[in-house]
Amino acid sequence: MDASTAIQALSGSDIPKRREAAEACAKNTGLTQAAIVPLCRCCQDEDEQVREWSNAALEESGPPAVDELPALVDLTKAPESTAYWAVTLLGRLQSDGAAALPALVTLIEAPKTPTEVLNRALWAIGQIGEGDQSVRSALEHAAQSENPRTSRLAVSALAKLG
Amino acid sequence: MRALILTTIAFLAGLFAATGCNVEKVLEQLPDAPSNLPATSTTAAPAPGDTIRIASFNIQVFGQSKMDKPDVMQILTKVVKSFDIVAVQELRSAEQDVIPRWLEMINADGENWGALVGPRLGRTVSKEQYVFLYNKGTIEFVEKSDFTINDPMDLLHREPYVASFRAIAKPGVQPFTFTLINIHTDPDLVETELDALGEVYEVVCQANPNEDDVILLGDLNTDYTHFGQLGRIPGIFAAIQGTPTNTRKSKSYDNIVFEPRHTAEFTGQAGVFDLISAYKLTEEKALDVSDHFPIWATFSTQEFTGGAVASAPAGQTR
Repeated sequence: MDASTAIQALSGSDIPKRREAAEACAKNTGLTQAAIVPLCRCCQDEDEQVREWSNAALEESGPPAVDELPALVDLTKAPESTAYWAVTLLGRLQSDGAAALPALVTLIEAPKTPTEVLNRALWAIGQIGEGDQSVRSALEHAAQSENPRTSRLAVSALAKLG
Repeated sequence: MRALILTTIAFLAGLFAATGCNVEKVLEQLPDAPSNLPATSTTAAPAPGDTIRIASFNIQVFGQSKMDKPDVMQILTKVVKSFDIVAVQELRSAEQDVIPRWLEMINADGENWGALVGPRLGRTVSKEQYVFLYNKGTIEFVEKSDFTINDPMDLLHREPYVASFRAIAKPGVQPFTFTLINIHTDPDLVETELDALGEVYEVVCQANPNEDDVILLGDLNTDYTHFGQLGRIPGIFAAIQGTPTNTRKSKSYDNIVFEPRHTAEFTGQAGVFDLISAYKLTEEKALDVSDHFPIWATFSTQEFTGGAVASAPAGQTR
């Protein structure tokens, strides 16, 4: 399967074709890299097989291309599983993901951000490893959380800011 | 205070049943040390004998889509039957009929295999389950000994699933009992999770001082040189060293980890089961089965106690 066929299938309404494309991506990192945005969307798919193969593809994909950053930032506002993967991929960009910091801070400060997305955003900031005072303030606030994972990830991210 | 807490009651009750018998008779009956065996070999599974073969297999996205592929299921079934017990990672199906249906295939030739399935775990709508598949002709499950590690600090994405077993040995022989810790780490949090797994390993060991054979196995998403706190446990040993475990043969992600000074039953034989060469598959076909190869290690069916090391394999202990 080529990249354009995979992207078209993942974005389409045909469930068997979405399944086939997601599975193909999970077996081919190059295909995953090309289809990273539709794969993030498919992590919230109504169909379990599409969701699971998309998750598997993204788990093994490594960092995305830097030029995917704006699209991934847009997906941080998507439903939970899609946002979780968009944030994870932004974190994998490490210092190349610095332009995503405002969006990640927004996630941390928004009261309705799902906990797992919030925690992944804290992890991602630590991976990016830089940030201004607004980033530091958001992390310091999160470090006071009663959720032990949230608190620990915020403290860890603060340490990585230096 | 420990960050990880065990659900102890059923666990301890089960292990007492496993290890509460007289072990003094076998103190002097240690196996011969294997000579010059490589720590890891890439082969087909070893021949059966007075040993059991313990394996770990990450079956990528094991669910309905694989069940619908008879050729894939035929290979998976043959793989499992090459061993006595297999720790499986990545059962991904909300429908809970996958393992019962697979057991029907495994048992179709008259063998009697059983399975233990852990709870669905994961941070998103994507969930995974751990599974132990075991041949009831060679392995007994220690009743009520299985549990999932309690992780109140939320250190681990998919908390390990633990269970204890007993090899079926010849009459009059003290059977080898052992506790398996089944794990699939989060690839983005390997460092944190390997540190936590060091604590998991020690907590499981301390929870039952009568059981000295604790074996952690699964997809660690890193090789044995990056085990963090797990690798700093004195005497800890990784059965897979320097051999890729993924189907593309580029990464060593999976391992079987234990302390040989306690687990003297280890024969020194361990390896990666190369499905491509064993079944003459193309890489593409092997990837239909999984993106990982199974890994395995062989142990005596006879319990050895007293702390002697049966094998100091060529690989490094720490």
